[in-house]
Amino acid sequence: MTFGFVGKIARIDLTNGKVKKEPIDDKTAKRFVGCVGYAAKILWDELEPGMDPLGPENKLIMATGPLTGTLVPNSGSYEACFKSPLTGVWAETRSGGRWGSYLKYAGYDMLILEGKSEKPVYLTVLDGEVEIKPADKIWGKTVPETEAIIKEEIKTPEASIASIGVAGENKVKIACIMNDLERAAGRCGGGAVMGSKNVKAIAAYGHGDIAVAKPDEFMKVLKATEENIMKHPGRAGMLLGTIGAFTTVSQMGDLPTKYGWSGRWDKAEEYYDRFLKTNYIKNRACWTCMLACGRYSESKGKWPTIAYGGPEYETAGVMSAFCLIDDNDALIRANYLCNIHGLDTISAGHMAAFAMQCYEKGLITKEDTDGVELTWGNAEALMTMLEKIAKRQGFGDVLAEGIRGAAQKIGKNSIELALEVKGLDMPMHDPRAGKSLAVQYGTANRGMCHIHPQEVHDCEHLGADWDLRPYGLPEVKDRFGENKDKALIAKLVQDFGVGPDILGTCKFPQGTGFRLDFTAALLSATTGWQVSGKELLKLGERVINLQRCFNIREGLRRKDDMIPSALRQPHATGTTKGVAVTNYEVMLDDYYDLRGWDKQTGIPTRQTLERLALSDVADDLAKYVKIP
Amino acid sequence: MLHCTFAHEKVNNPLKARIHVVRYEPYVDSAVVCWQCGICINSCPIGVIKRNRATGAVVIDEKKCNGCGQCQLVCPIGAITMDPTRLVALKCDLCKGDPACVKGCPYNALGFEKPENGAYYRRLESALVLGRKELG
Repeated sequence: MTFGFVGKIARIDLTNGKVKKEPIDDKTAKRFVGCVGYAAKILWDELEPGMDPLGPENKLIMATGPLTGTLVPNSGSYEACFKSPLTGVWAETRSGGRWGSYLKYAGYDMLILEGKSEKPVYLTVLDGEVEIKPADKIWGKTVPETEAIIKEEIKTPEASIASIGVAGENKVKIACIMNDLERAAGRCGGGAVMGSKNVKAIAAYGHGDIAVAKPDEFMKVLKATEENIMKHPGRAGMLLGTIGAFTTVSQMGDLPTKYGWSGRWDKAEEYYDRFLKTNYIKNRACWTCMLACGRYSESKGKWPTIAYGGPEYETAGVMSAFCLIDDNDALIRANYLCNIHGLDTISAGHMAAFAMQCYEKGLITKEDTDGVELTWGNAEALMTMLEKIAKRQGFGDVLAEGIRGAAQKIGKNSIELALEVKGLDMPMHDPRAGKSLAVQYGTANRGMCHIHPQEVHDCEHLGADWDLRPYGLPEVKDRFGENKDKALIAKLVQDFGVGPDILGTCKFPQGTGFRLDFTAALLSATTGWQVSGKELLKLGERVINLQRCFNIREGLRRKDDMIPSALRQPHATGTTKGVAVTNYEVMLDDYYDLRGWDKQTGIPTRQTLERLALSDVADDLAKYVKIP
Repeated sequence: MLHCTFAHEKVNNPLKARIHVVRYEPYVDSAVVCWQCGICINSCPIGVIKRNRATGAVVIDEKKCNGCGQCQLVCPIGAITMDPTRLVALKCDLCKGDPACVKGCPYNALGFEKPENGAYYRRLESALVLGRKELG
């Protein structure tokens, strides 16, 4: 067994209620490490291409990595990996809190959920024992209610619980998996997959140890890492939370406003001030976190809530500027509703804004929307739609299908307006503020995502460098330029950014002093392997290519790496006024060159796959497509 | 918590820690650690809990502990836990006067004071509570 891992996977067959324990395969672990790397290999081996993501043949892997649950800063993560019902391709979705760590203390590195339970159930993983229990009492309940009832029922008040709300139960394609009340594995519809298997929740608690190979060296590197994080200038920014960047991002033209009409919201400063004065309570940290970027807030105004976790920057952006709603109490309420019903805040807000865009253009009318006036800035309409989406009522049923599904149902060429890549809707960053983001949006394996693998354009508009200069990160002279550097930034930072995903840690400390060499040294001390920073980049590249192969096998090609045409229109106001993405195809060609992917099809060449020691994957892939 | 177990047992495991961070909704995040009050000393039926005069710590001899759990029951703040595998009681021993949690906290939120200053800080705490009450 490799140190760092606890060494066991539980394969839970929900169809016949059987649980099989499997060991972690050391060879696979060495090749792909853990978490999304290991899970990608499992899904590559076990999923048939073209199958229904909401059918029993899909598998939901709740994965942690070798560093999860250890003393390593910000290591309280897990990732849910599956084939997404929203995009139909590879999906990974990360969440913090405690659940990932608690799963390891409970004795498992990963859970694989297979098949489909006949009746609603929930799972308990307590000190190595996995049990399937009836969920009659909690089906239909909100996330906080579910957690409270389960803790009472299993008599374990300190257990950590991951669950879905009614959105997941209704297989809403933008449903998320919530854990520890307020943390969310949000994107790509993991909640729908869990709901399709009739699993309401998974509780984890246990007393198991996570041993490390070289304790003294581990402690030494840990100290150095923590000291570096404490003195890093980026940490002060993270202490303000992701929402702390709200005004800066708006000034840089990176805050999509009115469905991408502009990147600058002129009310951003006042809005953020009001949030701090009337809503903000305190910071909250996930397990072993040194940054505590989580907010805790409440609303006492028109849209009252109890004190609850959130909102993050993404939520704040999508529920305000994107819909033009200038009401911070509405944001707190919307965030709260999404959390208790288990909706991805980004996608839910995005769908509301998309509906507003269609409403303005006359593609839908009051008759289509059950009488809800979906005009810009209408907070009442937002609240109504969020409830309707979660419960799949009326027009909410249309929006619950996700961006492509909704555009198809609305028809009238509404897909032309949609901001999406591969079926995943756009989060709250705009490539017109930094062109490398266009490449990231186009090529990220899970679709149009800013953070998986990493927020690459931070180096263009916020001055981040992730200490990657020694590894070849170019200086950016012109953030609006569209040149070879942008493809290089995208590739390098992606390879780097997938690191936390395969180790089971958080991405945020990467920008605040958790350097690549520290990561490699901590991984080495934990597992006993000898891994350098460069090798870690190569591991990242290998995992990205494996996930790419997964998507190619599902039928994706170069055309699916295209960014939406709306991003090729210039911004209307702000510092990015008049800026548009114009030479995307050239940047994409450069990127393919760097990656070693075929320019016509976007398929990784055999040479590339062999260079990354993926010849077995290439052989498998050759059964489905012609590899260049 | 993780630093605590790592110092004592060289593994990552918060549930064998002798300091606990309690999270309770809404928004309580608080560290609970032994006050070294010594109530548990008399509760031990086999007399293996003793005060170390040098550090001020009340220490359980884990080699001799039989895991009866009496000390856990009498502890007024729930600072004693049972090790589920070794079946012995675990409590803070102040790491022989150099606590790992204090060294490990990157935010310096924890401090360690000499035992002879203990009375002064207790007095200060009471005085502040009383003083604030008077102010209303």
